[in-house]
Amino acid sequence: MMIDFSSVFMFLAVGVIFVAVTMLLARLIRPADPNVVKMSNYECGEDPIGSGWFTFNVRFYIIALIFVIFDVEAVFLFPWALVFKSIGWIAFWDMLVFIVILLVGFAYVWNMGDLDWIKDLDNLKENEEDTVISGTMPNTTSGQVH
Amino acid sequence: MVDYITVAIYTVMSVVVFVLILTTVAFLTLAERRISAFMQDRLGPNRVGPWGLFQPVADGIKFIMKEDITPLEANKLLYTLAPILTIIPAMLTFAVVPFGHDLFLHGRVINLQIANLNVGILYVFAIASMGIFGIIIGGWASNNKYSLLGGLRSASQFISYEISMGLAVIGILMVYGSLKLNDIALYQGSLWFNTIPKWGILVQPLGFIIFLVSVFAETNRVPFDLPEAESELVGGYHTEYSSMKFAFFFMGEYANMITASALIATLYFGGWQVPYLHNIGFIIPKFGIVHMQQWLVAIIEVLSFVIKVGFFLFFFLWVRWTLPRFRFDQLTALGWKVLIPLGILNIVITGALIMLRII
Amino acid sequence: MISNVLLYITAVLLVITYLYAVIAGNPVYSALSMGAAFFLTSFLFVLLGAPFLAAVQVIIYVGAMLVMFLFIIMMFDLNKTSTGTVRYKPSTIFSYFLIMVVLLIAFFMAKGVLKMPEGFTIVGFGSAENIGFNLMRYYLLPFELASFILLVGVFGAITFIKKRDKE
Repeated sequence: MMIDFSSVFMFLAVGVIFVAVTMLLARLIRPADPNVVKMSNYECGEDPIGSGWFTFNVRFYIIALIFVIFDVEAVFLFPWALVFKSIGWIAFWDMLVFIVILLVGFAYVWNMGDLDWIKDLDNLKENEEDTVISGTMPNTTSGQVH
Repeated sequence: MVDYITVAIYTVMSVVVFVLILTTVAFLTLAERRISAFMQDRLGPNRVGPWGLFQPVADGIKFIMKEDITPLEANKLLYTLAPILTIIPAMLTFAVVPFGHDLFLHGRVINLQIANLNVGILYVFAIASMGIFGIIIGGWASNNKYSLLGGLRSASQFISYEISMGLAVIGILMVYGSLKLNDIALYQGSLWFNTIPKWGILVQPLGFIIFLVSVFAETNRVPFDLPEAESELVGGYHTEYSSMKFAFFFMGEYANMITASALIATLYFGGWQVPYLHNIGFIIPKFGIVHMQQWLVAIIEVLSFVIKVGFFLFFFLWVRWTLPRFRFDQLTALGWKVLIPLGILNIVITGALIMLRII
Repeated sequence: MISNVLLYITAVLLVITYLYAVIAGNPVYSALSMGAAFFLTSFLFVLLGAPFLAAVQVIIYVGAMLVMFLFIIMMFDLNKTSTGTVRYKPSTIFSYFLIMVVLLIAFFMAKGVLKMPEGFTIVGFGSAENIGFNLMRYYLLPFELASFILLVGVFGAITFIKKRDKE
């Protein structure tokens, strides 16, 4: 058990040594001549407006939340898949019930439109200028806090 | 009792595999540029050494010599940590990939793989999911709007496709009944109707397509390269990065491609298996046996693995210049509304086929 | 022997990382410290001979929960307090302490009651195959109930988000 994992740690050690040596070497060789303009944030040549830490759309969070639940489901399926052949039909029906129950949840999420990135397409066409499509840059009024 | 010779063998193997991955990464960057040049009817880098073969070396020297710029407003600690968190998991995932049949040397069994873990493919999922943190943290720590959006997109893209990837793998596990990648490769040598090898692509064609698409999304390759869509997000999560830190992100990405290709080859194309080749040589049904030495068999198997991985690496580059990029809403829709239902369908179909003793 | 030493080192690191997760002033540091703690927990599972749980621990807690935490922190722009630590009221610390005492008592009470189920095999203990067999043979009902709990989780999450969206 541990023997198997010990070779993973050996591999990890090789990786850590490689990263450490490269970073140290680069630090010794490379020039260091910082100035304020060079160290400012990149915003296509303009002075950056506000902080880079803006509040973003809730949709990223919804995806993460739904993912947690379906990830747990997938993890339940792994041990089942391994013993499927030896258990037989009971395992098959059992998992079918399990999947169908979760499909109810999936259908609910789908129906509520939480899997759509752009919600309410008709609404979007009516007042296009008010709606920010997330995943692109935030507009200055609602996007930035600072 | 610890067998020091075995430990020494695995240590040497770790170092050799690590160096080989790094070398492959280096030449992959060259291959990417040469092949894209070829596809666009250009020449590509051809000045450093014959056919530009020393270009990766020149690039490496340049990365080390360049000034490292940390933005004033960045979070210094996390800004430094992020590239390390990207490259180390990317390298580590390769540890469970087998590249040959077990060797028997003087009473020792040497696995041609760094670690034959009994969680196998789950280890890949676990370590790969750690790699996403380097990208989120790198995007956040830069304190740059492009970087943050790139990091966020990358993370939500990764999680959207991880489930469908898992579902595709579950189909494979149902057929082969083991988490160990070496066992999965081994079982693919068994014959179907005594003639056709039971490769993953034949028993899981739908699963293969789901897995392939998911893997492209997980490695942020075209057509799923939205996190670094240069036309909208400049460089994505690594916009602010320079010098060696940028190189680590870059190498991490290519190392992920190598592991992804190795996984596709192992799960669906028999890994190191060559059809009809066994420990003692070729055994062809209704024809006879061609005897071979163990070392010759091992070399052929490792070569077969390398060729399969090489083909899929080429496939990654090929797709890049063939398909346009997705829009973000199309991307989430494909992941959640197409691949996940298909993955579940694949599991049910596979289950029924196994119960009916077809596969 | 070596694994015992590793076990204690891991345990100490685990306490430190979880403690830092609670007292860190910057929520992102806090989340990352928790990630380290999750990872150490998974290492603990490896040492205890439960590789499947170790892998699942990383896949779910690090790969899914932590991403969600980071999204929440970034979404609400909580990173106002940059460095230093959070100061808790003595009453808060005392109530945490009380919870810990209750959990410890519960643990020692349960220790005598919990026993291995019938048909339990120590061979291959903690492997995914073994867990699968046990789930399908002895724990069919809890297994199906788990899917109901997940279903409730889906409904809960969506309702929660809808409420937030309106606000």
